[in-house]
Amino acid sequence: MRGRMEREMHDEMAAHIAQATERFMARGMSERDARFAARREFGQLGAVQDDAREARGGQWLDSLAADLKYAFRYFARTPLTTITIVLTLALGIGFSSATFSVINGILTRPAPGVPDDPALVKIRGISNARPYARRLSYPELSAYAGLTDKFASVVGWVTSGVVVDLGDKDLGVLRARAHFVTPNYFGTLGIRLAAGRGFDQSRFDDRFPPELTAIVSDAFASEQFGGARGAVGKQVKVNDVAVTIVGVGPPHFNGPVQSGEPRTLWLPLSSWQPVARVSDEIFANPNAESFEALARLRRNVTLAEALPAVRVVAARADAEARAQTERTSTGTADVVRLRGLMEVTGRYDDELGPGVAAFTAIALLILLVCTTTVNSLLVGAAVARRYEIGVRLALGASRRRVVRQLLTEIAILALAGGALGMWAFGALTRLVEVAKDGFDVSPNWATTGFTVLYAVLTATLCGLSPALHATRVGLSDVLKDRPGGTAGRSRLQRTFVVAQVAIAQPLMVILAAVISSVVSGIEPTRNATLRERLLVAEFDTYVGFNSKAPDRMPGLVRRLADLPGVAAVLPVGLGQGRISLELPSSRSSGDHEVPPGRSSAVVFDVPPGYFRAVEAPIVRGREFVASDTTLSVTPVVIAESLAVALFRSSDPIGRRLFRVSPYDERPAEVEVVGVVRMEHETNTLDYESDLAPVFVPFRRREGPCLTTCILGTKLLIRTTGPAEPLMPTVMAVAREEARMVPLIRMRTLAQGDRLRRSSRLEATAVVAGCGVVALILASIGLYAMVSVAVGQRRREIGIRLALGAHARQVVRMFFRSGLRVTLLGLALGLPLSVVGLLAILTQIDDLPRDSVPAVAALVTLAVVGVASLASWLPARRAAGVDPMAALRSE
Amino acid sequence: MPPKSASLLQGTLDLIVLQLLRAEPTNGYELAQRIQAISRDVLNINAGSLYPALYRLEARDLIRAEWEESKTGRRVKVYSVTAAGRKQLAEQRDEWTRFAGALSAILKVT
Repeated sequence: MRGRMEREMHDEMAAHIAQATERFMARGMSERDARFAARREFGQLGAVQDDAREARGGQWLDSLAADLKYAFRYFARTPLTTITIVLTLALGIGFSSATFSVINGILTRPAPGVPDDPALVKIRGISNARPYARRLSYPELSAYAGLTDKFASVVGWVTSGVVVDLGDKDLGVLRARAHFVTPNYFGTLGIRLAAGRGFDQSRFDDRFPPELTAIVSDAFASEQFGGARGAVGKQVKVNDVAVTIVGVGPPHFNGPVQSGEPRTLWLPLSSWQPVARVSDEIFANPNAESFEALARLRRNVTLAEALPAVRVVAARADAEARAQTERTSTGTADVVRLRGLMEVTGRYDDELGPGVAAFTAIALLILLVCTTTVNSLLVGAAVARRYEIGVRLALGASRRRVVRQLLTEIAILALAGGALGMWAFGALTRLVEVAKDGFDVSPNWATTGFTVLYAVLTATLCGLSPALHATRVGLSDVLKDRPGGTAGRSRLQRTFVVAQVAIAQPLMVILAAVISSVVSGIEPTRNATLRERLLVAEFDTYVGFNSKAPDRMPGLVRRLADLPGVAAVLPVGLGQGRISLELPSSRSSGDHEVPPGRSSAVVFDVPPGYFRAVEAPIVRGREFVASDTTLSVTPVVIAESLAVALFRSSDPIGRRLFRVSPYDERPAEVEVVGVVRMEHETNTLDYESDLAPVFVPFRRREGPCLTTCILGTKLLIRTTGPAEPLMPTVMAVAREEARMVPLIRMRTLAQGDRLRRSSRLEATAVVAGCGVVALILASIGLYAMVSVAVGQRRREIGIRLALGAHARQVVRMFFRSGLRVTLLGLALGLPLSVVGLLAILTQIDDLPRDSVPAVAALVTLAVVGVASLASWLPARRAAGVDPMAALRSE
Repeated sequence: MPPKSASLLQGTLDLIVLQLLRAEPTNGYELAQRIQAISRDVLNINAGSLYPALYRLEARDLIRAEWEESKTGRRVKVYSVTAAGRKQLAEQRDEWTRFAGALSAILKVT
């Protein structure tokens, strides 16, 4: 039908012109002249047809098709520019979408597999002492469950490590995380199992008799039974108690709160006593804080309405608890929307916050650099197309039509860039570690939409503006290539390039600082031989009920020590974390120098013979002996650097110090009995901190472990030759001697070093990649700018060359203009760089401060170098201009 | 030189077209000639204004078109006014008459 309408319009207007021709012929004109006059009287046929079509309406589809065809023809003519624009947009959109989605996934979404339901809330216990998260007692949990006017249902659970025996002799036992849940758990969360059925028990307070069933995670089922279906009905032993698997959780689901532990089981709370061997009184004891809780709000009840009720319950429970104990600190509770990350305050926030901020800043900067590059290219392209636009206008296209055409092109580029970017984003997020930990990092369509919109808008504004201007300037000026207004557009492009360089510079400085800090952490180990002969095996001696079973470790140590090739086997602690050491008083009347008041350190508990095994010499005093564990004042052996920091030149042996830990409420007194020379990376076991070590005598923990005992036993095995070949033998002996004690991890110190090094290198590579990309984009913009300038000023170049200028001089002229822009951008970017660097310095502890000026200088040189190249290459083209051709082209 | 017809308001052109087509259905060329003749060269409507107006009115079902053979044997598209068009014309004529009367009264003031 559209074809028919077009034909009719064509025929109608042809008839009009024919009739007018007849009229002119009747006046005496020749046929040729008459037709000419008729056409002139009619006006621009194309334009009239365009307007007529528009008036008819419903033409937008045809126009769009025409615009698209024209656009693709244009892209085919300028492939390099087109591809660059699309890739750049893709990079900007993909990277920033990925970053925002990852951040969004970590911070704001629920844990994977959990429905994003606003009615699901977490009831968090808060200890006012630190403040820190605390768990809830069963009486308190029941009290929350009693708030039936606020909550439709309340769920509680206890988490503990368990030993799972699948009956496979070769496999040994596995460590897993078990959640003992109130039976309304899955129903409240609104989770459908992937296979099997739920528990028989269903009510919150169903506790008798014990139901020995389990629901396993999908990852566990896949790992051990080949899939969800294979797991249902299997009998396993959990802490040596026979349990039947009745169901499998949905994929990726590991609990309502992010845990990262793939081997998870859920058992009904009624099985907690038999499986974990806890005593009965735990359910009645208001001070036994073992539970976590979540709830589903009643319809029409908001969080704000539920909070006061929760607080009241918490206060009552706290009062009751304190009445039965000497605890001085108070506790309370709050209720928040259920999210993957639920820490109240403390370490998690501290660690994530700066990282998130840094990543967001980098993503925004990259987006900015990308869009300014694209805009600069578009401006250049539009300026270069002035001639084409002028011709189109001369041929009768309306301004609106031309503008619409340009808009279509920009939209196509933006959409192509966006699509490619999303694909890249998918690839990127698959690489990211975070996705493996089970965070939900699927695209956040809100941020993607925003970034695409932002890219399209800015691209439109900047690609359009010069085009609009071109359509306004007098056609003859455009066609004769007179300057007429292009100076303004070139200025715009120049501004963009300056902006790009200004933005790229702090980005690169920050990235270079990060790189240098990472690289500085990669030092070759000086004593590789030693570290090949130190094997560390970690056992979980507390999981399940191992803490109540006879201790298998001493027997294991004896048998391992008897193995050929083994020089010593030493149980060591897992470390006690960061502390500060303080002198009893900062001022000591007898000393000439006042020693500094305190030093930070990291504590390790080690047995006698340790320092010998790791070849760390005791330079003063003595090392530990067996009786040290019985002393009333804990003896410590401190690193030489600490001794110097605390005591300067005076003898530290026999001196007392206060050890202050963030977890204890009171400082403890310790006495220095020895000073050891520890070389970081040589003698030390694999820990990350740069703080000096302090050693205390290793003490095996006694007594039951009620709740989440994640402590284990580390065995340090010193071998005479390389330790790696002995690993299978060690594993076999361990499985025989301590069947129920899972081996968590075993590796030589050298293997640990290699792992750390490679992960740092990976991080460096990623970060370096970003920096390189930013620099490339900025230089593309610069290249485009100089290219366009050369193209625009061909006539001027021709004249100069014709008047006797050397080609070299012309090239220098353009090269200098490019360099000027670069230097201006660098100067403008300097304050940003300084700010960025200062921010980084506060975040990265181990940035070698001396290298900062060198880093900054290197980055500046790199930017100037690349920019010079980007300016020089197109400038060279100016030398190739043939003066005669340039002058003749008018 | 006659004033350019581009200065005519779009609505006035619609009124002119409807009126003349009501008086006698005709094709676009003839319509333009007629406007020029009746207005004694005061109004000179070019094709760029006329045809969009015709197509617009046709899209709104105020006029309809049919292909016919002219007196000279040429195939032309002849426009005529529909019932809706006649109604619209009547309304616009009243409006214009009121406006012209008001303007006339104002111009008489000294």
